Amino acid sequence: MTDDLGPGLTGELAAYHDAMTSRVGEKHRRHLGLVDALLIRRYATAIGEASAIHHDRVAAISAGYTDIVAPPNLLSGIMEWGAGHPESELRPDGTYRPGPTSALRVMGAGEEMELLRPVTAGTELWLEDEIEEVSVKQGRSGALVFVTARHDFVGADGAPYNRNRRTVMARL
Amino acid sequence: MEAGQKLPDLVLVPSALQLFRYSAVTWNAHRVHYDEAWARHEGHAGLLVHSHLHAANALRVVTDGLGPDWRITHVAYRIVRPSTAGRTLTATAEVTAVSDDGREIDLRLAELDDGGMPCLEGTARAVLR
Repeated sequence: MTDDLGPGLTGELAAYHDAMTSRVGEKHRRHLGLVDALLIRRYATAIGEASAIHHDRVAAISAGYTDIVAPPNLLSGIMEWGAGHPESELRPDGTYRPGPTSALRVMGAGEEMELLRPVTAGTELWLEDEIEEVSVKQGRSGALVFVTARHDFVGADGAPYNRNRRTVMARL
Repeated sequence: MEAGQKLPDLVLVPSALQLFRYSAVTWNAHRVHYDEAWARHEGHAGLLVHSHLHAANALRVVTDGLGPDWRITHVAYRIVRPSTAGRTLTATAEVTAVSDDGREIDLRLAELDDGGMPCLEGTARAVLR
């Protein structure tokens, strides 16, 4: 299979490509938990956002929200919603990726987000995700694998808050 | 609002401290964002700014520039160039279209590094709440 994918797609990059390709179309759903006021305030602080609607409940309610509201890309920015993996299971670069991909470098390449309703403190969320596409491009430093996944953040009522489509790029 | 109108730029310098706190609040253990020796080992010029932090910077131009009466409903962006802690970034937004009733606007987003080269290119749509 690897031989058909063009020059440069070898070793761990080829294995990553094949692993991601084998998962295209698989749908997963999991409970993420509550977005609480502390998470919203900390995220806003970390990005330098001082607007009162992200920090002060009275100001947020005055602005028409039910509670303090998350900055637009808080949900997509969270890398890990649970406790995460033990350090012994992380790769040397600190990331967790199952499979033989220790030398692989993966980084965000872009995203499309539909923000359907505000995320306020106390919102309970589920994540529905699916890998939609895996492609190979030739970069200046060799082959690049792009993986695009859909991430729907859904509330307890079954209606989505965010519909995101995120692309990551992997290279050796 | 009218097409061609620019929102006030946002000029910022992500610090190592900011990148660490962004990693912490998003529970992102990737060492390229907080371990400079590791980042250089991977070939980066320093601590790498998170792709989502680039996006947050671009979106802040919109939320700060329009104020709380507006809500962002759509965003699309791509990261075209990495940047590192200590470099000055300038995020910009320009109105590209306004609906007939003036309640919906499209914007072009960009974030440039201190060499004037784009780190992020994107679009957004905002509606009056």
